[in-house]
Amino acid sequence: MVYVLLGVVVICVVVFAALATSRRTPSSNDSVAEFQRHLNALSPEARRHTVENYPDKKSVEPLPIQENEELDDGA
Amino acid sequence: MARDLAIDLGTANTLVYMKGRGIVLNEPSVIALNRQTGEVLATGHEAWHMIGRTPGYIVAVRPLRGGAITDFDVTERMIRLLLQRVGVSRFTRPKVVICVPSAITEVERRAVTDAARRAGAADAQLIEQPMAAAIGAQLPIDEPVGNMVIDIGGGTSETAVISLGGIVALEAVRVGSFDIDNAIQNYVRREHGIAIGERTAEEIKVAIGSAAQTPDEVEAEVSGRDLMMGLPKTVVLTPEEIRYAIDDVVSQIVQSVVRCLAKAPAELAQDFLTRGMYLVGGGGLLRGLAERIERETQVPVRMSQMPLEAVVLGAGHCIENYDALKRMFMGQRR
Repeated sequence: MVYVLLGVVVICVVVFAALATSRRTPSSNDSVAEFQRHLNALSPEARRHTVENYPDKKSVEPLPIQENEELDDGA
Repeated sequence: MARDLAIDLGTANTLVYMKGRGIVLNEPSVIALNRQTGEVLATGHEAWHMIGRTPGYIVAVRPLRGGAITDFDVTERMIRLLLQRVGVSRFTRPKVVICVPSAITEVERRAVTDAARRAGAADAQLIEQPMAAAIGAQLPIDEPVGNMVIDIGGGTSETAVISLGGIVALEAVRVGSFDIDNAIQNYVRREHGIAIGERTAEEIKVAIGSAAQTPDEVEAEVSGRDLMMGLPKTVVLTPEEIRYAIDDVVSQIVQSVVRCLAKAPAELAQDFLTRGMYLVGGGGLLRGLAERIERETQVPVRMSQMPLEAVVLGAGHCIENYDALKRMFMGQRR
């Protein structure tokens, strides 16, 4: 009985270790991919679209001033 | 569904970038209030024209000084009005990215995000102004090279070295173009015995102000109130006088750039010599400032193509790529 229990414990430990290891590998790959995505989003090509929107200054006409107290609900 | 927004909440001007549309609002950070009832009477350009010209019951104020919120309640109302103007209502709550000075304290940081959330934002994230400026000025910050940006605003001047999408060295002083205006006001009062308003001081700075000698300099006639007699009086100011008046403020800005250069890793020093530093912000438009910084640092200084809009365009790029650029936001770096 003791040997069976020990066997189960050993199997659990091995499975747990295997899961932990398998999780760590993709997560480091994820961080590399995420950092690369971050740098790609900062490339001049990616930024060109935003900067080209620059002259669109007067597309929204200012509305008359009217305080909207309803918004003040502390969301 | 609300369109997400990027806001450059500057001491002098406020700019709003709407996702997918570009810059939709650009106006002075000024609000005019009825002193007795607390009602908002005007904001932006309209309120700016009222500065120093209001009857006793009206007050036209800038709720931000030195890049920090000096009046939380007024700032919140100003943000609420800004959001309303660009179509935010209680049913359409956008994500908002707000540009703030890098030297902002934790308390000030919370004040800005709370003001935005209470004004109607679903989520408010902050980004440092020099980082946003570098993105908006199209510097190659995704590469492993030293990019140096100097952002001179109304209340703060910040210099940052950026490489691989992150800040490597940073130096900030709570001195900006409003301090230059104040220095001119004080000089005219002290040396010529006349009082002038802050708008007149700004006009003098724009007309004849400079940080270093420039070609074709002209004199300017300035009118104010004689401090002895109380009557209107006109005096003539020379560019040399104004340079002398603002020298202390300009020196503080230049010294902060020098300190930032000293903080930067040696490996990046050669990048600065070949690529130069980029000047953004309204304060950077002061004549002769780029030449003065160049002379004192021996590093070439270049003016950004969009010095006034670079910061909000950079934040706008972050709102366009919100998930990919999350680590740009203050408190989100891992």
